[in-house]
Amino acid sequence: MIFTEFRFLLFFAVVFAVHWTLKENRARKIWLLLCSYYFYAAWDWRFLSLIFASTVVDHFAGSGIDRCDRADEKRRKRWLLLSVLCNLGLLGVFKYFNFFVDSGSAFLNTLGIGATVPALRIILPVGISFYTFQTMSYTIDIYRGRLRPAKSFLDLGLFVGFFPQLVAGPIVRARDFIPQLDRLRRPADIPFRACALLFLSGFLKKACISDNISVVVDPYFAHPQAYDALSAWIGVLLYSVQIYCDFSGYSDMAIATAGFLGYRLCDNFAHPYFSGSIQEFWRRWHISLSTWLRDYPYIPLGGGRGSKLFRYRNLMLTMLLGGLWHGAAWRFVIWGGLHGLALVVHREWRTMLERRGIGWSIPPAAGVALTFYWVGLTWIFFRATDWRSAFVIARSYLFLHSPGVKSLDLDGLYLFLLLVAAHWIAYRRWTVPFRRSAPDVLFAAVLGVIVSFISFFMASDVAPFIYFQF
Amino acid sequence: MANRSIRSSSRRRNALPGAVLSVLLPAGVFAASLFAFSSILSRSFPPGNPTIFDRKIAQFSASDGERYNTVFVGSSRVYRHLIPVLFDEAPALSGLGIRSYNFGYYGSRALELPHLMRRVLAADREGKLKWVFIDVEPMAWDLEDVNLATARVASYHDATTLARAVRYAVGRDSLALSVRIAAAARHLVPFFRHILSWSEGSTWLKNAIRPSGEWRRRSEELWRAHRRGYLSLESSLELADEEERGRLEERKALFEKKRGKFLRNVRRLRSEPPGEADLDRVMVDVLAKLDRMVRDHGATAIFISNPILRPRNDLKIAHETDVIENFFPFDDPDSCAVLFDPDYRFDEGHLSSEGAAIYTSLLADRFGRWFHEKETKKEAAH
Repeated sequence: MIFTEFRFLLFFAVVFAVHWTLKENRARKIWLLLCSYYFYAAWDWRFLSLIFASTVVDHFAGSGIDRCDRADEKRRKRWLLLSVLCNLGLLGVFKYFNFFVDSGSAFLNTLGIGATVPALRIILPVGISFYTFQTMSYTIDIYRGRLRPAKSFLDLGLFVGFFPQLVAGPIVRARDFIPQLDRLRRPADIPFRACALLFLSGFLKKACISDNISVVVDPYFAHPQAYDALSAWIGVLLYSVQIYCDFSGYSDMAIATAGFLGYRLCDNFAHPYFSGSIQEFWRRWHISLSTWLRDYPYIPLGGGRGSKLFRYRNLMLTMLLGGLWHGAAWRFVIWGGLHGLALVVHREWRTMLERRGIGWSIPPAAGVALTFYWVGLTWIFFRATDWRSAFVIARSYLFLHSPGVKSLDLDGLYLFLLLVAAHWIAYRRWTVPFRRSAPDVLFAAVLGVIVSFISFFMASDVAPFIYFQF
Repeated sequence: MANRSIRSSSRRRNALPGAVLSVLLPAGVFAASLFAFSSILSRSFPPGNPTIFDRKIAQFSASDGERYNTVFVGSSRVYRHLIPVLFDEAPALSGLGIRSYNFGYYGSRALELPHLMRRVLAADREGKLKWVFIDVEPMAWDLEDVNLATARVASYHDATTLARAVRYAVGRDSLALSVRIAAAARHLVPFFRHILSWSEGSTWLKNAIRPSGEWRRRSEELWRAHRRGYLSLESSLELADEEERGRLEERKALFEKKRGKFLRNVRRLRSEPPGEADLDRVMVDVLAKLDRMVRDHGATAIFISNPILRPRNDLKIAHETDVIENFFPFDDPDSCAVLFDPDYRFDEGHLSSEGAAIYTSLLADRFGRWFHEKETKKEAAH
């Protein structure tokens, strides 16, 4: 079930109506948990058992850590280890097993040692990367003393399985979400106008922009060797737009859906393509993942402490891990590596300017362009179907090399400029005063215009969200 | 105390309409703005890429001088089976001044046909049409996923079509109630798409950003190969793009592989003709509607059944019970043996170009005989 599908809208209408009809907090939570499990089962009911198992393990591990005396570090660590191993074990088996086996046997083959290890015939459960990270953060936070265990299994179950964020984030922290479950939500808790606009903005990004752009992006990335250098630029530019609209559109809809039910999820995107540096980009892109990576692997690795080499090692390792989180392929590792490299170079550049007392820096617009250019280069490895294609596109993108003669035309460039203008308006928050103060009737009329615009321009085929595969 | 209670209850009474109004008014404004702006958008943007049917309508409308007086309307079994040029020149029809056009449209279902017929009749602005041959595909109780989100299905899902589809799905007693309700509910998707002009602008948007050259060239080439609306499957195979060619070749190869099974099925059909099938009320509604539309236009509707392995007993019953007046069946392997010869087939459901030529002349013969019988009866009556 995808947020832009008609059946999701029907499903949500029922969830919403029943949720606000129930008077008791516990009844509402049970209802939401059942709906969340139904939502997931609509994709594949068999993998519900994984979510349930993960919840059970973390429930016991969380309570186990909490029960232990703080001085009994050994037992507390044992409980934490149980949780981390179970969650990483699930990820390892379902997401990374075949990748490591294939890579291992390929490596042995290059050494001349013929090795054939059987691969598992399994499909990747939707959202596994998201909910395992969420559940791990739950036990780690309890271990660190930053969180008390959930008051009931129901609360934890709803935290893990809450359907708006279950399959593609944002990666919600238990300390942000579980306390919200204590209080009976009231209709007054719904920021109705903000949620309506956010949901529609996400719908527009996904159904009207991302899905329609795929008619250009897909053929280009399928046969990049047939196109000229300008097409590489257009293809990469459009893919950058597509992946942003797809993923941030999903996040917007998830946050708005939760908002309609009275719950608040963390922001996940903050206009990342207007970032003036790669560091700023990572503060604005997939915020819930970047903060997770900062709090869990990066800081325990040593973070920004220690020697320069040690700090950069931490940064690179974290970004490589972030790349691998996106997919079980070396292309994603390279993607993470390129981002890590850019972060290291950016830090080095800043340190150098500071040390020499140079007040000058790159003009903001040039910083935005340079960051966008680099991010575009990294997307090539993220999207390309194989290594050969990735290098063909990267060569065209970097050195203006034309491997073929076919061309993606620039006729639709004015649409892209319109898109940038709309994005700028949202970035400057020029619509906020209208949202806050417009009379109800005027607001309803504008909503009608937006819905008709979306329904008119939305792609006829509903494509799954790109981030579902992660 | 009593006064306070009366005052508070009267305040509540006054507040209630206010609260209802505060919800209903914005909801009404929302709906009005939604439909008004949808309509503006739909009129402001050019329609999507023309379908084969759109092109046929345009060609037919633009050819007033050619005075077409006969059309074939139906699915791919009309599109790929009836060759207008051959039909017009058939010896059986000499002297009748027949000039025909093929409006066959692949994948068209019974529910879509009234919509297509409306467009065909509207394109005959001068009312020259005399004969309308109609092939009605059987009703289907479910909408396949692949069709659910298409602009084409949305284009004919108006309130009448929705009502027919729901009636048909709910009336399938052999299915579980939940399945019937789910099948009926699926038709709501194209219905909403229809009333909200859903996705109509998507094609415009895609055309604005994608390189159109190659795709448009191929589409033009394919259209130019049509002869008065007819195009054989072999020609399609020759001109299709890689993806479509793959699909057609696969269909052809599959038929070659299952040739023996096809022959066995034909033999079985000959030895055990299928029992009487019910004529569904929704199908009666569709057939009567088509017949009436053609009659109101001043032409004669002639229903045909195609040479396929699923004999159309429902059409036979409709004819016997006077729901439709004229019916030419070609689904009997005994009387139309040559049409069931695998040598004249492209795949299980379609004839090859040679088979189409034979089928066209058989239809012309049948029509010629019927016409002369009718004329003789008329003269005798005089």
